[in-house]
Amino acid sequence: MFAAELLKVRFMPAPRLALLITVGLVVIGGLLVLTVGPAKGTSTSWYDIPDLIAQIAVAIGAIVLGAWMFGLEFSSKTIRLAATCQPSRVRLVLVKLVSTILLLAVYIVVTFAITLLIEALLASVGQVDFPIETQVKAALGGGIEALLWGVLAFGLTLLFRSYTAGIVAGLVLVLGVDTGLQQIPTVGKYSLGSATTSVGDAVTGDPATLALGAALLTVAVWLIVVTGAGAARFITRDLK
Amino acid sequence: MATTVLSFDSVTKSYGSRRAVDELRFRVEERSVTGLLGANGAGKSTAMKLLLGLATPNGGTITLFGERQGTPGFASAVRRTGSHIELPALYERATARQNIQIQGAAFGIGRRDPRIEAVLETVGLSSRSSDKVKSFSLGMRQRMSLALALVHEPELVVLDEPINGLDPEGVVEMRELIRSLPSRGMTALVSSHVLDEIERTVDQLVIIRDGRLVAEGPIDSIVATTGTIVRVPGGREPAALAALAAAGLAAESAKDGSIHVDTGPQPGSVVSELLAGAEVYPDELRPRTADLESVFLGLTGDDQGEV
Repeated sequence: MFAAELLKVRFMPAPRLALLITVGLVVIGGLLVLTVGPAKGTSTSWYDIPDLIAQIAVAIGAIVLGAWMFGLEFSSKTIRLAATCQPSRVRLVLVKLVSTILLLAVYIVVTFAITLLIEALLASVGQVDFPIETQVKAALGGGIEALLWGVLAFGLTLLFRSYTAGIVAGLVLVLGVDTGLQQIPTVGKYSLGSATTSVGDAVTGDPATLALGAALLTVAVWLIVVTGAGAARFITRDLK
Repeated sequence: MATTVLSFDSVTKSYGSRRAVDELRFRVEERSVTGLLGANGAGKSTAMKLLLGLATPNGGTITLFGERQGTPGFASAVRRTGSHIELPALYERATARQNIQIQGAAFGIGRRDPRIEAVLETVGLSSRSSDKVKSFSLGMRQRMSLALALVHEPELVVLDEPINGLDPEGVVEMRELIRSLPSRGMTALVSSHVLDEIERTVDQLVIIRDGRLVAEGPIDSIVATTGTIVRVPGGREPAALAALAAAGLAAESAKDGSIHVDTGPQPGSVVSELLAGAEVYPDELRPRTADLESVFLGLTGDDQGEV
């Protein structure tokens, strides 16, 4: 079954397009900085713009790709085909989940690797110091957050049985609901966004809102609830 | 004695208050081509989804390759099937060959395995194997869907309306292909709206109405055992009708002066015996044969002709 999922990644345009668009946006940001230089009168450095674009684009791209592995089957109506190739629904969900995590990992690592190269190049052109360690840590933190958002989108796609709904729900949760939750005192610490940031911060050694253990537990609860609900619905309901 | 590949025993499936499949029972024997017939909404697609594990029955037992639905072994049994349910579902942005390679990979078949090209050849799509399927006509999609069902050489092939969208040449090719499956060690379960085509393709029939079985058996027996036509001398019709009615046989006078007798499972000779007992000696007595369409309409009570 893994071989079939890998062939889908290879043959379908969506993963390549997501990577190309994300890297393209980072490159455009780099070219913009190269052309006009960093914003004057601010603390913005030569490499900040590509870094910001990468952090936002990778988060959105991860949601799109996280929703893709099952979303492809729902949008092309091949879900029945997939379910007869692997009639154990539990196994099908696990195979797709692992494939999704692998896909997200490759997407995130490749994007941030290219972004760091562009940032280093821009710093060199601007003749400013490039804090490689700080930027790698930021990329690592952003990558972990994006990976978690992607898994969340995977669960939401299963829950709604729709690629579009999975992406939209993921974006609404990330940009809307979760951002709103973070504004609430105390409760905000346990929002998924805040907890994933804390996990990223803990990994990179930055001061975090939540301790690593509490942050991991919070993230796990969020993912288990959303992904578990989606998986449970998919496993127990008929495929019409 | 033929091995039973698939059996439905009192299987029921409801959607809300509607029973899509109602105490349905039938069997599919190894290396047969079995036709599943029924009007729109009779439960054909639901029955196929149930046997493939895509839906769960509310009651009854489905046994596939000896494995009961609901047991751990049933998933392995489903992997021994190849299927095409309702409209062809394909990866639109992949080529025909890539679609088959993906399907093959799910069953451990390598990308360069000769079975990939062989199945493209079988369904007549070799020349279009590098084209994306989003450019394919409905007929070509049907062929692709069949290729996906066959690539892993399943033991049971389940085809729902396989000739939809095919041109006349494609229909003939599809018929020959389905008929060739038993010689390749496969069993086929096929549903179709086109009764004439089913009559030419299958050797066993399962006819359902409102989710229930109304007839099952070899197609020859179902088509042939519709009754007897009797022609008696003038004036003896009332006596003949009375004798047949007294024996519990449904008989009616036809416009051409003959009497049509529904003998059910009894042989036609029972009619001549009953008439002789009433001292009615027929001028003519012959089996009443009918095409599948009239049998189907008679059994399902669908006088609109739409199936």
